[in-house]
Amino acid sequence: MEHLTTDLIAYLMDELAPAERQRVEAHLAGCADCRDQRDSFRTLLDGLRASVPPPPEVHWGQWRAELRGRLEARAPWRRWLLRPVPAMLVAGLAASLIAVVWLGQERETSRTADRAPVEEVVLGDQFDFLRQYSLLERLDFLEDIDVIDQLDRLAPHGEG
Amino acid sequence: MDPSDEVLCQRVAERDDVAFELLVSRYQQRAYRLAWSILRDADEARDVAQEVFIRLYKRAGSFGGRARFSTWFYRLVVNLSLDHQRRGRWWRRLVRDAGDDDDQPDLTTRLPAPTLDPIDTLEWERQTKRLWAAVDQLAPRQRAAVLLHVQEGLPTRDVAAALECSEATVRVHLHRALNALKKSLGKE
Repeated sequence: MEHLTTDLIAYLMDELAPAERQRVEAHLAGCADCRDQRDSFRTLLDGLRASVPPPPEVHWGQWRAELRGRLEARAPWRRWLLRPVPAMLVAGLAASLIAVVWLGQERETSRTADRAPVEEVVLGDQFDFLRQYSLLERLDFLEDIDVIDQLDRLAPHGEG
Repeated sequence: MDPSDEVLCQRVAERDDVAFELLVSRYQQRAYRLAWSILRDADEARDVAQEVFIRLYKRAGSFGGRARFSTWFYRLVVNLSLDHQRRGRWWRRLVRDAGDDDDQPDLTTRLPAPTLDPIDTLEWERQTKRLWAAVDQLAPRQRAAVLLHVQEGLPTRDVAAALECSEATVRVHLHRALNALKKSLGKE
């Protein structure tokens, strides 16, 4: 016959469902060893509950003062940051970093923009003859190659 | 109406110092009592009890409210006490072997005297002293399970939450602990 183990603990702590409690009690009725075990455990638990030793006295006012001191001592760097001068220093440093990054980006953008007029001047120099034809000034010469090919057949005329 | 422990813990997470002071006043004795029961040293228990509240202050936001505050609190106390005990074990053993047990309280002098025959009273005191000395010799988690149940009055469900194990495991701890106590007291 298998003896009770953890079921006996649950039984002694009154934590069994009714059906399980009945099953355990039925077993106890027929098992002397388990009844002895139940009685021993019950005596021990009752004895422990009745004799819990109280701890030594504590001066709670002093204990709480120490606790407050330990709490304050644990986060000195956070509290330092919240003071006016360090907070301004950190804010100033952050603003300087942002300014450096922003100015750097602005300079990069202006360099890119300056490139376009130079390229246009170079291209324009290569097509110097186009300045003599007002018609061609209105064309997108990169797309209308056919007109350019037949430039020599066009006679210069007045504005119209 | 007094705010619940769970509400106070939420306020502590929002850095409400008044809520923190209230929680401390409600739980300071429990923390110290349980820490002392595990460590059996008043100075260490005072330190650990303070450390529990410091840890609570830092981690109040992680409480979550899924369980009762008290079980979460007991878990902090048990873990910090067992950690402390593990760290200092070799040192404590050395000091204890070298010196006397003045630091250990005489348990019987603190117990309320039962109204019994003096001879029975003496026998009862002797048995009680032996019983608690045997509890001190239990494996750490078995001892924690016994203390949480008999001293703090927690049911198995709450002991399991405090020890971060299953209810079945708690019953195994208690079964083994009671068998060990029975053997130690020669009741077999």
